[in-house]
Amino acid sequence: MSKRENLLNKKLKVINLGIQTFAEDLKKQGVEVVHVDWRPPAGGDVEILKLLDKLEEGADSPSRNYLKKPTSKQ
Amino acid sequence: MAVKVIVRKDTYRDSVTLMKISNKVAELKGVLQAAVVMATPTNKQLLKDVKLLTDESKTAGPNDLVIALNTENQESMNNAISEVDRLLFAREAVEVEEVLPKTLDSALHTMPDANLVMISVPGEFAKREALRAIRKGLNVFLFSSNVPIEEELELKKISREKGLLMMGPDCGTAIINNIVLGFGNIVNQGPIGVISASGTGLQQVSTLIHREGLGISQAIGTGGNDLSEKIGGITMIEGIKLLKEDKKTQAIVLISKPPSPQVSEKVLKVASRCKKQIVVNFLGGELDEIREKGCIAATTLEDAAKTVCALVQGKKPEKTIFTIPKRRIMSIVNAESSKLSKMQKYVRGLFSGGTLCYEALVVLAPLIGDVYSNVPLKPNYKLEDMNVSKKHTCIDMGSEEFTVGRPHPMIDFTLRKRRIVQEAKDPETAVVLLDVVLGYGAHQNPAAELVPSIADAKTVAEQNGRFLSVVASIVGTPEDPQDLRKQQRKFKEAGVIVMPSSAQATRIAALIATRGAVEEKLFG
Repeated sequence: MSKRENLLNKKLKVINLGIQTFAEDLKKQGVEVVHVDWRPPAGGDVEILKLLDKLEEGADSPSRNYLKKPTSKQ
Repeated sequence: MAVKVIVRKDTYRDSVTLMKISNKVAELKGVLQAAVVMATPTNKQLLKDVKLLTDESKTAGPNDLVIALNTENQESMNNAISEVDRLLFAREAVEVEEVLPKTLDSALHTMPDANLVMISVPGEFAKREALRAIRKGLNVFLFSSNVPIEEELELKKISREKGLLMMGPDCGTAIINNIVLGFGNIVNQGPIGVISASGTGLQQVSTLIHREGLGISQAIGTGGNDLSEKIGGITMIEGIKLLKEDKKTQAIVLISKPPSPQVSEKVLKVASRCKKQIVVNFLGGELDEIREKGCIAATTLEDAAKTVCALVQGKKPEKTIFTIPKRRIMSIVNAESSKLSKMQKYVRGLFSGGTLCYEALVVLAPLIGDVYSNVPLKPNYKLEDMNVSKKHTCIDMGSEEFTVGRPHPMIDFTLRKRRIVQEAKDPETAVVLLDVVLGYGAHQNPAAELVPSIADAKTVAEQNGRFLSVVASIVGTPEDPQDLRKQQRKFKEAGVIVMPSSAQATRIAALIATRGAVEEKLFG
């Protein structure tokens, strides 16, 4: 079963980022919901955010993992 | 007069919370202008346009709150500032009751088995959050607007690869297993699936299905750009595949403005392979192409709802012009039009739902000819000044030019109220045509806002020796928080002709304005 079928065949469980009333409306309908106290990341600086995301993506890449290996053995 | 701009560093609030605060403060005595906004580049430009961008607010960032106030005097200014603070802190007091996670990752620790992420952060951050959700294997409902189309395409392609459903960006509503997401109505659960590129289109169809005694299995919002050439209908196509396998769904309705021929071909090809019956309403689009692909073509949102209801009940679909007997309709038309003066000739539609406005243009064109609008069917009928109506006019008051720096007209009625009275002052206005949208997310009591302005408008007409006809339709159900029946009653008591659907409201408005001259065109 692919994940989008999970949406229809399982109980709806929601994480809400942004407008809080959406989470409140879901709770009124008996839905389990976690509201995230979201703030613009990196102080809202989109350029810094792009750089941070690049670093983060690098951390997931194979070459980065390779570099990590020796440190994990220490 | 007093003007003050205050910056509150690191005080983030979501857009709906700020809309509510701005509205409440603007209503205070002596307040001429009030804007409580985050210092995003867009909002700073807006402040600059109204000459309220100070040096301090110029350097503020999206995490900083700007309070810009223009009041009659210092006393009103002090009152307004303390009210803003009170409302901001009232929010905080609620929030401290529980410790909320700060990121998607930490929310997933609390709810590892989440299957949907709703995102309504400002557009410039939307892709980042949506991408994180998709990488975690989560389906997404992306409410945020102003997401560049390239980003939308990237998100939709990755979701498709991962077998996830990506609704939006700019997705206003969806219904999953009887749960309403975003702006939507409380409707019965039932055998009909809906996939819609339009939020109000989805609301109109789902509420009319509910009123027919049937219900919705799933309603998927795709976002308004999904059927554009660039996106190619990715979410609509994935939605059809999903509902094809959904055991609760017997028949499917597809709703959109007319897509480009290539996208239409692609979507209809997938639809034709689905063994379930598919009703298609590409508003004002070609019907033959839909029929050639083995789908059922509907001309209006109501037609789509009625047709799909007939099909699942094994009945033959019938064309609906009015659900009230013709004799009764013509008696209402005669009663209203007999009171009009000779100069009163035109329909003035003031809509909060973009698709309902578009549908009105489509319905009116064959009856009374092309209609002026800010979103016309033909470019040469675009209003030179969107604030001044010309001949027959229908305005989408939810379009960008009316909502920059302002809440949507389903929440904030200020501009529509003003415009209703303005239309009444025009000696050529015969009928004011309105839509009212109920449900989660919408205003708690639209009648309380609109009825006094309708009364004012009728008085203005009367003082000038005229009668103003007002026609409305209400999208909603008796189960909605606002209660459809209560709302209908309040509008009727104010002398408004309340019709069961937006298409029917539009048709009766045309009949009244033309003194029944379009009767034959309508009824044949």
